[in-house]
Amino acid sequence: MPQFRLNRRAVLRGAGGVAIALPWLEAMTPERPALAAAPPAKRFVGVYTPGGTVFENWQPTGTEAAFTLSPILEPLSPVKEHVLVVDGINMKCAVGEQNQAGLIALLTGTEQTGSPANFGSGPSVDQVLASRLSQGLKLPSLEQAVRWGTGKAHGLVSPIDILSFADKPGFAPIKPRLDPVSTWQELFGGVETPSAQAQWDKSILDAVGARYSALAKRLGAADRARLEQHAARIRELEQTVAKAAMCPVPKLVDTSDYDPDTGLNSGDTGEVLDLATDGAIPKVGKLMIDMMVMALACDITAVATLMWSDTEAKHTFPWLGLNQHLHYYMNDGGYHPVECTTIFTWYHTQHAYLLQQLAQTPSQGGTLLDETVVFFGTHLQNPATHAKTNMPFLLAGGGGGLRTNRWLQTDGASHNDLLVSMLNLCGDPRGTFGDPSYVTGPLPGLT
Amino acid sequence: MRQWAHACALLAALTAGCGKTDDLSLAPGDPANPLNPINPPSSTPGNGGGSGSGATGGTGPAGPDEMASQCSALGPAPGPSPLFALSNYELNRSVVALLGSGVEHVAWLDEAADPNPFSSSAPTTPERQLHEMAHAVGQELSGNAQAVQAISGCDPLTSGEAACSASFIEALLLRAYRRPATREEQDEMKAVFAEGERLGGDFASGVRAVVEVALQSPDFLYLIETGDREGESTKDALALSGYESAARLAFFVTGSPPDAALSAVAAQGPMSAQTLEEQARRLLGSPESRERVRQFYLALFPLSGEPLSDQGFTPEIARLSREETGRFVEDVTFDGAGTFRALLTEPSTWLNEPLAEFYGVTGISGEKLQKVALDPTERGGLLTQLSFLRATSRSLEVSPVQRGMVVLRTLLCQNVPAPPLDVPPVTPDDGKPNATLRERLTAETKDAACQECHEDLNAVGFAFDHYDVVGRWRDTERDQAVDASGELHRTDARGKFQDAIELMARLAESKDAKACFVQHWQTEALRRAPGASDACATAQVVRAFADSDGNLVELMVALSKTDNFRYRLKSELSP
Repeated sequence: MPQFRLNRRAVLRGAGGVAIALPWLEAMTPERPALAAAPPAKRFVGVYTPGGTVFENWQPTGTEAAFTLSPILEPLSPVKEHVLVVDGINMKCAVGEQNQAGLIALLTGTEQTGSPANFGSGPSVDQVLASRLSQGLKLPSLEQAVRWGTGKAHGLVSPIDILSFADKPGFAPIKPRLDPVSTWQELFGGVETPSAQAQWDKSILDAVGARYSALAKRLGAADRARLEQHAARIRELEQTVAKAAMCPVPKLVDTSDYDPDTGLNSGDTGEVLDLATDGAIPKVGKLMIDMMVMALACDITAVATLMWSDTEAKHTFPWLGLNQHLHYYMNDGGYHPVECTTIFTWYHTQHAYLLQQLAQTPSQGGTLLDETVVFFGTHLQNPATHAKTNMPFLLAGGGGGLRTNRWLQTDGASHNDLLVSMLNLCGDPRGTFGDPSYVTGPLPGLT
Repeated sequence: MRQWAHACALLAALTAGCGKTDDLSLAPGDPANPLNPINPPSSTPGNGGGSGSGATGGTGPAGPDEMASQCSALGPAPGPSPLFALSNYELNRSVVALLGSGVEHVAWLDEAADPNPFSSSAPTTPERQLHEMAHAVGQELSGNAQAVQAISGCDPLTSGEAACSASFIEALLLRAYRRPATREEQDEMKAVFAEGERLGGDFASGVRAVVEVALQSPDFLYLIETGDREGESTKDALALSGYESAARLAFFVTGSPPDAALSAVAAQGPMSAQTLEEQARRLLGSPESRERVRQFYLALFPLSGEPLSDQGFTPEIARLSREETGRFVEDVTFDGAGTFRALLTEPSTWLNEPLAEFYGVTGISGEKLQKVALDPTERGGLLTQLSFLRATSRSLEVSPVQRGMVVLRTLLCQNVPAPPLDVPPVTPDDGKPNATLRERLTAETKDAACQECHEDLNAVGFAFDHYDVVGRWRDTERDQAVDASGELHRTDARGKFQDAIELMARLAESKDAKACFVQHWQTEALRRAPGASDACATAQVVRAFADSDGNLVELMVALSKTDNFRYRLKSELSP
């Protein structure tokens, strides 16, 4: 699995095979160039939640460095040091149908063309980064969604429910993976588990390393230096392998009560209920997060997104004791700020779990979270008015030198500038993204 | 590299006004460059003396005969012997030998996929590739109970797994390390076996773990030479152990690890010159030795021409022409005249029907290569064969400069600098559509500064003007009669010649050319370029080569028994 991402073309043949071209040991690779102060992020994660926020329960208080988390943000307190609250972003590019345009703009920075029913006119940030960060990996990116395609989307691809758009002309909408079981099987269902293979390799390389040490002692200084260089590269390889040993396969919990395709049966108003599936949302969401983290940890992919439903979110929240759907609490049934606050707080609790998992997974440069940029956002700010100013966004992680544990007030900066900066953090140097008329340049103050 | 670069700069300064030359796309010093001077100091790591002098120019400090007689009194004075890794070819052969019969080749990287795993775009490091190779071989062998049993000589069903794992380890390490493993090393591997068995759950997993570790061990990948402390010794030199000599000899003569017979001799301790000679002669009768000799020449000369299909030189002809030359050198060395002279002048070669067409030979049918006598006024020796002639041509015109470079650098070991960087290629037409390349190149290199390099370079290159871009014979170029005549200076082979046939006949008798040839083979034997400290050994070999009338097998034998092949410096060892 991951540690063997090279083509393993070795074939031992009975006769008449092709002679090998094995590496010239004389031609050892040169020293690596020194890294710049803050290496670019190696991974990108995007999380979408529906419904905006309840701003007065969301905005922190205090100062940039010394701030107090609001009720909605409170679940993030265990990972507060890894979070940058990005306040005051104005999603000017979200032009079009009041919900759809917000989702389209969220990662593409483009307007909805000829609303409704049409998409935007550019790729999404995650897909642009997939081309850069996931080179040579099994998957360019991993898109997942929980309880998706509700209401008017009817379980189909529509501007109501698409977050990611391909990084090539046409910018095709990318339907997320809905079925956690098939995702698990594709990503982790191989016969040989990565951890077993990694343990094996580690034990082999340990023994090889011991041979180098034993032999180096018997040689003269020049020869010893040569062998020690070789041994150092063996140790490097061992560390890579050890990293692979840190990717236990996530536990596949029983989700037989969850119907990933239930959206296909949905009615426009959310009156068609699937309480079993709704009740399974928490465990399915957790499984998807676990799979996302392990896919990143095991270098299956470097880019992942998760959607907690679509912009309609016409499903109930039985585990919160809420028997209406989110859109009902947003405006269909009149604005219900208390219920909305409960739901948004729950989303942030799940996000805290994701960040904790990333922070607990060791990687070469420290933890997975240290090497990642995590964006957390929604398609509008105010559930009742659909306003898209003062967007309640979060960044997290240490990738690209992002400075966290802060509350950054951007005072109405353009959303496109934030997208440019997210690309820059991941090593993409471009100075514009999405609709250029909304770009002024990278968002200052992130690093 | 420093000294060579310095010499290069000096000469470049001398030739600063050098006129237009062929575009030599390969840089000197590039190991992939067939025109590379054979003796760059970069290939002599640890060579404190670092002679780095590639040019002999026929003016050695003392004649070889004189040297040889003086030297025998002085005792062994080996040159530096840094730690050497196996080459790809040797690694391949070693894996095959390790696995035993039933596995002929290991296809690791598809040659076509990426011929250079160390290019800047290479996805991986050598260690990772070796790791993967070891993994693949381990899986293959451990899945083949019969092959495992053949190595260990032990059947787990009757003798028990514990006994068989021990005998497997002992036998495998003898092959992999090319010497018996110490008790401690065997215990180390028993722990590896046990851990493999624990992780994988069976005996085969133990086998697999041992194979994987052994194949990545320095003992397998490097030629470890610490000498035999109980063996012959002088103040500065220590005899190699029998096993170390065996490995040196086997890789030099066969490109492969020692066979069972040689290992048995090695077990008796340091080898005398006489023993080494006996073993060298025995190994030179093996098929491995024939293949190794082919590999040497295929690497020494540029013999891989680009296909040129509109001239009939298809990829298949390109492949066949290399095979022709390989078959030729094998035949000359082992079955035919056996001499350096024949290598450069033998007017017969190995052809099948498609190849024969290029030589204007009729009456050859079939795919199988057969020995064919050619017109001795048109062809003689390796450098008049298609492979070389095509490899030193471009698509529209031949490259006299490149052809001349090979003769001066590779055959005479002269240090010809690269052209100044600002020299454009020769003007294709120069407004005179009927001007031959000889006329154009001569005109464009007529300045005195250019002539510093081009006097000999052009003359030698033009000697091959009877061969076109795909090596066919031609009497005219651009409707003018070919003039292949010229004159060579600055070597004992100096003098006038009519064409390549005469030039080669002259070089075949040249002491400079023979000394240069010895130097190439000595580099193979010592695994580094010979330097000043090897002067005595070199002189002995040069004399033996001369005494045998330039016999190619005798040259390899002579190289196998010099003191510099049998001893190593004490100063390089751990105290």
